[in-house]
Amino acid sequence: MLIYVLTGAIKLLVVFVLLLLYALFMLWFERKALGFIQIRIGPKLVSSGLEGLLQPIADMLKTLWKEDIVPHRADKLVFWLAPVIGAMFPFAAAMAMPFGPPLKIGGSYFYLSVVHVNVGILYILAALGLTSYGVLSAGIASGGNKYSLISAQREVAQMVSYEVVMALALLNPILMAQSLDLYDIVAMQAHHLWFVFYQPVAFVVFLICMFATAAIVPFDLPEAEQELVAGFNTEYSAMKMGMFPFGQFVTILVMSSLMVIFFLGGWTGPIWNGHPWILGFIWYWIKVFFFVFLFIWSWGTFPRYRYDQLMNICWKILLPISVLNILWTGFALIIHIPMI
Amino acid sequence: MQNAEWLLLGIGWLFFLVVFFILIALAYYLAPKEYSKEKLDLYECGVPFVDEAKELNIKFFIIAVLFTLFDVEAIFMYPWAVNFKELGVLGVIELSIFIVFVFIGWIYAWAKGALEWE
Repeated sequence: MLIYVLTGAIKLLVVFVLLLLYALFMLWFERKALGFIQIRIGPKLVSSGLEGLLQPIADMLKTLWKEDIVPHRADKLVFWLAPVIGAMFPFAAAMAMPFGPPLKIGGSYFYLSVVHVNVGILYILAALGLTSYGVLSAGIASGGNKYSLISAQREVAQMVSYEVVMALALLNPILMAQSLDLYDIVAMQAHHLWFVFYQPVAFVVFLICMFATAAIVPFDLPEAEQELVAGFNTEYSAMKMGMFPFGQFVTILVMSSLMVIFFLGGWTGPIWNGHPWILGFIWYWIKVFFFVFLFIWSWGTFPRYRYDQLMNICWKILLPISVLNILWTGFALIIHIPMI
Repeated sequence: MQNAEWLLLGIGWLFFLVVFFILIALAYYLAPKEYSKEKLDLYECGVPFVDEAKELNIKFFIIAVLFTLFDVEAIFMYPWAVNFKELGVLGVIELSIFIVFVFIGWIYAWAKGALEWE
């Protein structure tokens, strides 16, 4: 047990550093990709040989020395706590996220996630759901700033609405694999087709929910600059403001990996059946990064929905569709039960 | 082994809480502090302040209540999904009845105007 916790602690540190590096990389990649979409150059001057790859590190160092203003009307304790919560829970969710296929050493498996709980998906959904506390407390603690408050309400309502639909959409693959363990779900897909071929409706529903829960562009109502200044973090400055995008980037990563694991076969590929290990690892990360890029792509491409449209899509269209889809999956599986 | 995993999750949560708090505290410590009355005002000046407790729109409370109901219903289906093979045909029939109740609740919420935004 002790050795187990120690290995876990080492994995935790490694994952933490990797996620920080990933967030820094995303800061650069986001700006570069958006620049590319808008026919600009993007960051270029810092480390000119590397296309500005070191820009986020310079930004990060600069942010550390920026004046940190807490408005005197703000609720001090909650104001300090909100960015910590907003960044902490996506990282906590990433603890259960697989970073690659399990390594077989001797007779036992070594899992490339900090923890391997048998209710992995429930844990990830719960941890991601708690992120909305960070947003809500940021809005409420801002000392009566109208825009922060409106934006926080919007984002929380949006996140929780789409979480219901997301839980329902993820139920279909779970129904087919009959396990809440992320590794089991991938193992199931290794022996059959990917779940996207059995569950195209759930796939599309989850794709929409993915953008909505991460508050990325077609659904970025909380940060609608034209209406709400900068959204719930209007009053934040310096490092406190930097924590929110950190959390958002990690949310994007966790969402993408959930998408890949549940619908696109995780680390299975057309020409991979378990060996060699490294090929599965590469497949997995190609797919995950495709979805990470998809987020930025839509960021640079789509206009924004209106808020009533956003809520109508969720409650009046996606909710009945996904509930009926579950029923359909249930009946179809009962008929074809020898198949699974 | 599962107990060790949950212990590890607890350690991880504490770790992230402490590390991120240290990060913003460090930024606060390193930063220059030349405050004045105007600087400590709200950034978004010129618009009247709102009272947080009174300005929360009732629509969002309704959404929160609906979320609680429907998310519990969604989570209620998870045990069924995991034990699908054992429950068999009877499980599917029972879930169909349950889903009919969910739909009645959903239609009621719609008819009451809980899903309308003006």
